[in-house]
Amino acid sequence: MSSPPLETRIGALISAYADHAPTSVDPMRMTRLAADTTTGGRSTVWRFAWPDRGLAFVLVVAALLAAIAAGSLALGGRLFIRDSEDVIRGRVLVEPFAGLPPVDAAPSTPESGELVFTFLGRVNSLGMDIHVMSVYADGRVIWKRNLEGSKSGAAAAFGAHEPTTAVVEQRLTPEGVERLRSEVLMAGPLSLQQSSGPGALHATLHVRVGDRQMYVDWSDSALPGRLANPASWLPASAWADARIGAYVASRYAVCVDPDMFDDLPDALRASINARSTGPVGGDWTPDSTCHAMSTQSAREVSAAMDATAGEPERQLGGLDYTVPAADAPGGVIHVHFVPITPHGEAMCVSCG
Amino acid sequence: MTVGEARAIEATVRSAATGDQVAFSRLVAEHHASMARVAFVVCGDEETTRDAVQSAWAIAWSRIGSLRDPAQVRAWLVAIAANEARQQMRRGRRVTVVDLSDQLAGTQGADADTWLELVDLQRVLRGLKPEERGLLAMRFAAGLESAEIAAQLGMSASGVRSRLARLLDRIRVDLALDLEGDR
Repeated sequence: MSSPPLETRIGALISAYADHAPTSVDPMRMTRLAADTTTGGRSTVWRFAWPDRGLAFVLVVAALLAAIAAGSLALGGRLFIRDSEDVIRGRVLVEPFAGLPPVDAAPSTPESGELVFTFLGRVNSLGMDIHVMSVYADGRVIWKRNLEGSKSGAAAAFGAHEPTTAVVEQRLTPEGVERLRSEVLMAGPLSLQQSSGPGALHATLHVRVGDRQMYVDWSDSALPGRLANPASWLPASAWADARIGAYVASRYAVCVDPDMFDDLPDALRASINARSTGPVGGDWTPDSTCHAMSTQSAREVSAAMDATAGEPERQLGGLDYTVPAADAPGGVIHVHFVPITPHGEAMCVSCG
Repeated sequence: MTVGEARAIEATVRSAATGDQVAFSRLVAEHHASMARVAFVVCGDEETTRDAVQSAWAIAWSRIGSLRDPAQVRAWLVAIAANEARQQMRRGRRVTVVDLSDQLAGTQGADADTWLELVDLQRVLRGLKPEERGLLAMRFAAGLESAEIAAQLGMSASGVRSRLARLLDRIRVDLALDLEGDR
C-alpha cells in the first residue's frame, strides 16, 4: 500500500501535469454550443398552471391512444414488437456472454458478410447513449448500445464491467435491408469526406455504394433515432427474425500495442504468433495491432494468458488481460480479445 | 460547504435543468477548468482535451435534468469529462504520440527537475489504461474525495481507495526505476 507522503508527492506531480491542460473558455459561448449540439435531444420542461394540468393530461392521453391505434393499423394489428428495450431490460433470445463465446454457442452465419451501411453516434433521442450498428446484405443487423446515461443500471443484470447492451444481432428480410438502405441513401447527399448530421453527437453514417464507402450528410434530426431502433417503424414483413440474440463471432482478434508486443513473455508471444492468421484492422484502440484467429485459437491463447496474467476483466463479448512485463511502461501490457465483424474488422466491444 | 452555498448550487443546477442558459454558463465558468484538467490527464493532448470537454458539456446540457443531487454536480461533470476523454481517444483512432518537449514546454524553463519528472510521469501514464488514468485524474487533478469518485463510478469508497493505492504503487515503482536508470 502507498504511504501518505507518496500519495502527496505523486498527487502533486499529477496535478502539475494537469496544469498544462487548456482551460480557457467563454462560458456563454460554450453553453450555446452545448445547447445547439443537443437540440432535439433535450426533454423540455413544460410548466402548466394547475387548472391547465388536467386538460394537458387529457390531451396527452388522447394523443397517445390515437398514436397507438394508428400504429396498430400500420403494423397489421401487431402492437408490440421486440426491440432494443428487450436487451436493455434483459428480455433477450440469447443471453449476452462475458468473455469469449461458450464452446457450444453457434457462430453467426455466414462467417463473412457484405456491409451495406454502418452508423455510430451519441443519439440525442436516446439520452446521448452511444449506438453503433452495421447492416449486412445477408440481412444481419449487428449492434450495441452503451448505456452511459440514465439507463446505466440496467446493464448490471448482465454482469458487465461496461454499461452496454453487448453486441447483439437481429435479421432482416431482403426487403427490410432494402428499406433501411433506401432510408439511408435518401437521407442526404453522399460524400467521400467525413460528414454528419443533426440528432446525434459525433455521429457518422456511411453506406456502401459500389466498391466505395460514402459518408451521408443527413438533414433529418430524427434519422439517428430511427436507425437506432428500426423495430419501432419497420413493418413486420421487414424482419426475418426480429428476436435479439448475442452476436457470436467466428473469429477473434488479439490486440496489443505494437511497441510492447516484443515485451510480452516468450510463451504468450509464441502462442499468438502460432495461431494468428494475419493482421486485422478495425475500430479497436488506435495504438494496437490486432492479430486475427479462429475463436478456438483465441480460447487457446486465452488459456495461456490465464496461466501468465491471471484472471482477465471479462467484458460483454471480449476479454482484457493485464500482463506483467518489467520492461513495459507502467510494468504491464494490456492484451485485448475482441470479436471480428462479418466484414472483417476488429470490433471495440466497450467503446463507441 | 455552507448551507447558503449548497442552496446556491442547487438553485443554479435546477435553473440549468430547465434550460436557463445563464445558469448553465455559471456552471461552465466554475467547473470547466476541472473538467479540462481531468480530460488532459486521461488523453494527454490539448486538441483531444478540448474536443472531450466540449462533448462533455453537450452531454451535461442534455442530461442535467437527471442529476438527482445538485451538491454532486462537480463530481458528476468531472466524471463525464473523464469518460468523454476516454471515448474521444477510442473514437479518434489516432495515436496519441505527444511531443513531450512541446507539451510541457512551459515547465522546462521554470524547473528542469520538475520537467524531467513530468516527462517521466507522462510516459508512465501512457502505460496505464484510460480508465486508470481517469481514476487518478479525478482524485489528483480535480481533487475529488474517494467517496465522491465512488458515487460516480458505482464503486465503494474503499474500492476506489484500494485501486488508487495499487496505481500509486505502480507509478512509484516505474518512476523509481527511471531515476535509477538516469544515474
